[in-house]
Order: sequence, then structure tokens, then C-alpha cells
Amino acid sequence: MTEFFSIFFQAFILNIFFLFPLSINNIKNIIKWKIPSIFDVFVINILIYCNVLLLFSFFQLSLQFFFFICIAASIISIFLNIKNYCKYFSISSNLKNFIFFLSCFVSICFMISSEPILSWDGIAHWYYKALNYHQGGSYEDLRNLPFAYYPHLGGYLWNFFWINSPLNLEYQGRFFYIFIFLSSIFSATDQFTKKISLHFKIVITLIFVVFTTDKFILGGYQEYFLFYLFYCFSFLFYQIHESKKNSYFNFFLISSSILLMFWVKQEGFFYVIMLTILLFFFIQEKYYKKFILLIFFLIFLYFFTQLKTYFHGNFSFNEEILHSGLLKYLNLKFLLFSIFDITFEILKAVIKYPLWIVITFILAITFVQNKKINDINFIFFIFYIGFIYAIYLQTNMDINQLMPLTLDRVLFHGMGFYLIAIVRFVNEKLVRDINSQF
Amino acid sequence: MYHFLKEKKFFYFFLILFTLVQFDFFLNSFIVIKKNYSERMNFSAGYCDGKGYGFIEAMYKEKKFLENVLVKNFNNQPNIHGYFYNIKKKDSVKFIILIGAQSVQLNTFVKNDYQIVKQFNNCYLIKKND
Repeated sequence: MTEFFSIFFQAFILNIFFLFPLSINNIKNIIKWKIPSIFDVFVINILIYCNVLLLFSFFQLSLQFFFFICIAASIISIFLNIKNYCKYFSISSNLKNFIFFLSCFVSICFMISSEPILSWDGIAHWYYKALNYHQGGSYEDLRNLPFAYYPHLGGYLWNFFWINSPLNLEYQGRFFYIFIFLSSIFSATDQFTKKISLHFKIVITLIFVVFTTDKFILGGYQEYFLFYLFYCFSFLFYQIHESKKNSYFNFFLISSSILLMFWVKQEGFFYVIMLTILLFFFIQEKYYKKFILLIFFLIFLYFFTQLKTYFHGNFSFNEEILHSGLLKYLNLKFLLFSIFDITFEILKAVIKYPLWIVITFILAITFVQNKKINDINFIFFIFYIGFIYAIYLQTNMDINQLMPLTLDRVLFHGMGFYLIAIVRFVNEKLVRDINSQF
Repeated sequence: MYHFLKEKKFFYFFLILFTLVQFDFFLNSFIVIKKNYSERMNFSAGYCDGKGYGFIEAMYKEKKFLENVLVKNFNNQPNIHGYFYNIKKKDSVKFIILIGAQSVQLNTFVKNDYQIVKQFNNCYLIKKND
């Protein structure tokens, strides 16, 4: 029975924890394009904590002390902003939406609590990162554990909530992944225009949640973290894109949503490159600002690779990017068969995550109507699908064995990017339909 | 009651209830209340079958190893020895836990100077002879 209540307590604490450092009032200054919701507060605060905790992960600091300081600060912040929160929850739809969020969160928390065993890669790769920090190890100690070259940020955050859970149970640390993924979805669907009823909004949110909840991935994988960072990027991109005056803090947030990917999964390195290119070409800023941003990204990427080389001896991936095995594609027939196999596997993965059917449908309609390819969602789609083909054409392993185990997970990350695109598409269509009626 | 059903509130409560049922909230709560962490781990990761969590846990409790014991899983399942791993301890060269080992696999160890210390079905704790 104690464990039963501890699950509720941990879920409650996570909600309190992420109401700090920025309150709903502070977020108004960052998000100027709409009235911020409590989920936007969560999304932005998670991003800030991810940066702080990434920095902490290179030093041996007392996580319990930091956690209690943050909880205390958060409670004080809630009391200081009590009027704003009361005003926010006095709107019935906000309160109902938050209750719906809590019911989803607690339900999924219980789902992993009843079967707390980790999934394959969760126990084989990622658990060791969390375990290392849980047992007082440092970043340097990671090199003595399996898959040392895998990024560690997800494991560090997992441990942060594990070590600070009421019963010190491993699976309660993984509630963090549920929290960030639900915050992303609720923050996205909160951007539906006010013309859409609460019930429609909740039904769409429920569809998003059901289509993206994967018990297997919650067994220690890092896919939800990348899903969240992709969401942050698109969320902040539209904010910067549509706002005439952007503060440096907004640029810091969008930069960190990109750069943190490097520390989550190996694919993150390539996502950083992809999103940097998108940011460079699509953001409406002066060229000198864009170049400063690009140089900043290159310096950080170089610094990160050097940091990894310093601690782990080298900066490597699962296998070398260029190898003699690639010569097999000089046989055109073999290349075409491989492309066909990958396409078939992508289609199977799309059935597993049907949100991709919606995304493809929206992209197709947008393309037919606007007749322009120069759209961030469309370009990202080409980059992303191209990246999936590149991964499986590059590998030296048997792709027919590898793809059924991994391709669906690679496809999962990108859904986070399109959450806002779906919501904006519905908003535009609805506004157009309403206008056409008059 | 009729008025309540007609109201939009009913739809909202229905959605919440649907969510709870969709994610098996009631069943999962019951499992958490009824079984403790170790029992649930045993149930989902198996005692000697599957990942062999129960057997490994029992061996660690019984033998109180001072080192990290190597685990080999022959059930085509991930190796879960990370659950019992201590980064501050050395890796043992003396003990090995075998999960789902068939006689052929066991014999390769026996031939290499290992003896069986504990057995449960096809799970073994083996020890290198001094």
C-alpha cells in the first residue's frame, strides 16, 4: 500500500518540481503568440532543468540537496504566484484539461509500475548510465560500464528522479519520461484555437496520447526524450518565427533544445546538424545574427566531441560512417532492393505509429494547396526520411534483422516535431471554414 | 440522472473514465497493491524462465556475493545482471549464473573446470574449481 501512495506522491512532486524556475507569469514574456498554459510552463522549465542537470552531470554534486532546494523554491514560487494560478484554474476548461492531464499521467505511471521490468536496450545500455550516478559514480566512471560511448543525459535525469523518489525505486525515476512526453502533447493541443470546444480538444489529445504511448519504449529507452526535444524545437521555432521582437533567452531555449539532443542519443548528433540547417534557413532574422548562431552551434558541437574524446578516449558511433562495405551499393540491383526493403519497413512502422499517416496526409494537402516545397515541415520530412534511409544503407549489419528491431523507434522521434504542425493545420482549416460560412 | 446524462459534463467524465480504462489503471493499481516490487519483477521477468530475475535475486540473497557475478542468459532475452550490479565492486571470475542453459551449454562450463553449486530447473549457479 505504501508503494501505491508513493506513486501518487512521485507524480505530484513532478508537477510541483517543474513549476519552477519560471512561473506562468514569466512565461508570458517568452511566449507572446498566445496565453501560456501550465503545460507550456512545464515544457520550458524542463528544458531549463535539462541544461542545468547536464552541467551537473560532469561534476559529483549532491542531487538530493539540489532537489530539495528546487522543491522548496517551487513551493515558494507557487505561493508568490497564487493569484495567477487561481486565475488560470478559475477558467473551467483549463482546470478540466489539467485534471485530464493528471489522469493520463497517473494511469501511465501505474502502467509501468505494475510491470517495472526494463525493456531490451533499457537494461542492456541505458540503465547503466542511471545506475552509475545512482551509486555515486562520476561521468568519468561511465567508461568502465557497457556502451560507455552512448550519451548519458537521459540516464542522469532518470537517476535524478529515481534517487529522489520516496521509496528509492528505479521505475519511479522513469516517470520523468512520461511527464515530458505528456507535457509536450498537452502543450501542443493547448494551441488549438478558442473556437474549438474543450471536448474536441480533449478527444484529440487522447488520440495523440494513445497513439504515442508505448510501454516498450517506456522501459528505459530515450525515444521520449528526443520526442520532447523535437517538440520544443518546433514550439520555439514558431514562437521566434512569428514574433517580431525576440529576446536572447528565446534563442538560448531553441539552441538548447537542439544541442541537448547530442547528449541524449547517438542519432542526436545528426539531428543537431539537421535542425541547425533548418534554423539557419527558416528563421527570419538578420544574416549576421544567423551566422553568429551558426558559429555558436559549430563551437558547441566541436566542444562536445572534444569533451567526449577527453573522457572516453574517442568520439565514436556504433560503427564507422565510411567503410568498405558501402561499395556493395555499386551493384544497382542490390541498392534498389535495399531501398525497397527500407521503404517496406517504414510503412510497417507507420502502421505502428498511425500519427505518421496524419502527418503525411497533412503534408500532402499543404503541398497540393500551396504548391511550394519551401516549408519547414516539408523540408524536415525530406531530411528525416532521408536520414532513416541513410542509417540503414550505411550499416554493415544485416538490415533485414536490424530494421524490425529499431526502425520504428527512429521514426518515433520525429512525431514530436509535427505535433504543432497538426494543431496549426486544424486551426487554419477551421478558421477558413468558419470564415467561408459568412 | 437523465439530466446528468444529457449534460456535457457526462461526456467529460466518460473521457476520463475511458482514459483510465484504456491504460488499465484499475487493474494496474490492484497489482501494485497486491504484489510488492520484488513479486512484480519476478512475475514480469520470470524466476528461471525469460530473464531469470527471480533466480538471480535468490542467489544474490543466499550467497551474499562480495563481487559482481557474471550472468549468462540462454533464453534469447536481455541480460538483466545490471539490476544487481554494483559499480564499486569487482567483477567475479569465480561464480557464473546461467539462465535457461541446456545440457550442452552447461557441459561446456563443466568441461572448463566449473562445478554446479545450485540448480533450479535449467538455471545454475556454477563455481570455478580452485
